Amino acid sequence: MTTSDLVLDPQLKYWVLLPISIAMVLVGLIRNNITTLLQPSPKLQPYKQERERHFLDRAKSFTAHNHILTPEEFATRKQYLLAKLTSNDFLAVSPEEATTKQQDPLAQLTDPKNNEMMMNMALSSILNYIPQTVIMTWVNTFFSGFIIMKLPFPLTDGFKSMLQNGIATPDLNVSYVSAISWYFVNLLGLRPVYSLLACQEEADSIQQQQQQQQPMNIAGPGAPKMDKVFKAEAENIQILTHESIYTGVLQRVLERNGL
Amino acid sequence: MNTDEAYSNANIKSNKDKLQHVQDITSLVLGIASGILTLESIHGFLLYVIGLTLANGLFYVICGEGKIDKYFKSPIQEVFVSGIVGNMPGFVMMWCLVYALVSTSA
Repeated sequence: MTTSDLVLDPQLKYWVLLPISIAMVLVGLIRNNITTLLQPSPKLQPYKQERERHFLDRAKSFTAHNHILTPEEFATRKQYLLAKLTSNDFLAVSPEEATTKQQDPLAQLTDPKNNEMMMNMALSSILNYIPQTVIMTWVNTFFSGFIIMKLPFPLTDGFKSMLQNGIATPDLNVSYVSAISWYFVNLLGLRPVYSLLACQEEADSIQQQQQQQQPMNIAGPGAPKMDKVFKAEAENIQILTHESIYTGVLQRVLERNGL
Repeated sequence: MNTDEAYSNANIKSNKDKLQHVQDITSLVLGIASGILTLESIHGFLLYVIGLTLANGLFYVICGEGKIDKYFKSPIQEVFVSGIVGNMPGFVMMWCLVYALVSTSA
């Protein structure tokens, strides 16, 4: 370890280091609050669509858990589900209507529902980018051109152009960095601080966004037609081989208890 | 019947959140500690890895109550391995901050 050969003014940390950190924490908290305020309240779906979805769920859970049914129960349910899945009873939009509606791709683009979704996505990404650009410009204009701190670990020379931006000392150790790199370290490292301050709820906004987008995709314009999904599920049920857990249960229980 | 279905996804997620909370606090505290000790380069990272693994071990023993696979799908990997890299930035930030505060005040 070489001895520190640069003496940094202690005032630097009070007037550069701490202000940047505090500003970033506060901006992050404000952004968190704004995103929760702007979150759209979930809209009511038309009852037919909900019914369609739930019926499909029911068929799927039947496929997944059919082993707990006795053979008679299985047969009745299979018959019922097959009949309903191939008919139009539970479809929100009957196939004839759907084909006429979907023929015009332009109509989908101008659909107000889709527009609103895109607006929300654009808004959330804007909320992510604007504060960061603002802080970065602020750091760059106010605190550029001098070294503010020494990092506790060595870095390779590749980082020099990025971390010592605007400092014209080509041979300086890369551990001495300018304000912009403190900004980057903060940008990466503040997530735990946010999550502690925001009661761990809205902290991981990226994760939340991903979760929100998943249900949207199902209803999106590229989604498969519901009647096709129903047909596929009907085929699944058709080829299901049923093995009830009740077959031979007496024998197994007796064996297990050593009788 | 696969055993996956015996887990409730919501509960698994809440368990992960609790583990994350523990790791958040641990990495920040370790950052402060290594900053105060003015550790440099590899020593700081060693302190981080050892400290976080210690905290994870305590979580494993105390919160897991001896049957941790009830609460996590793949306990060893989730508790000990996956948090190490993800919590690194928080640790580095605290380390840099406190190191800068301590080392220039001489």
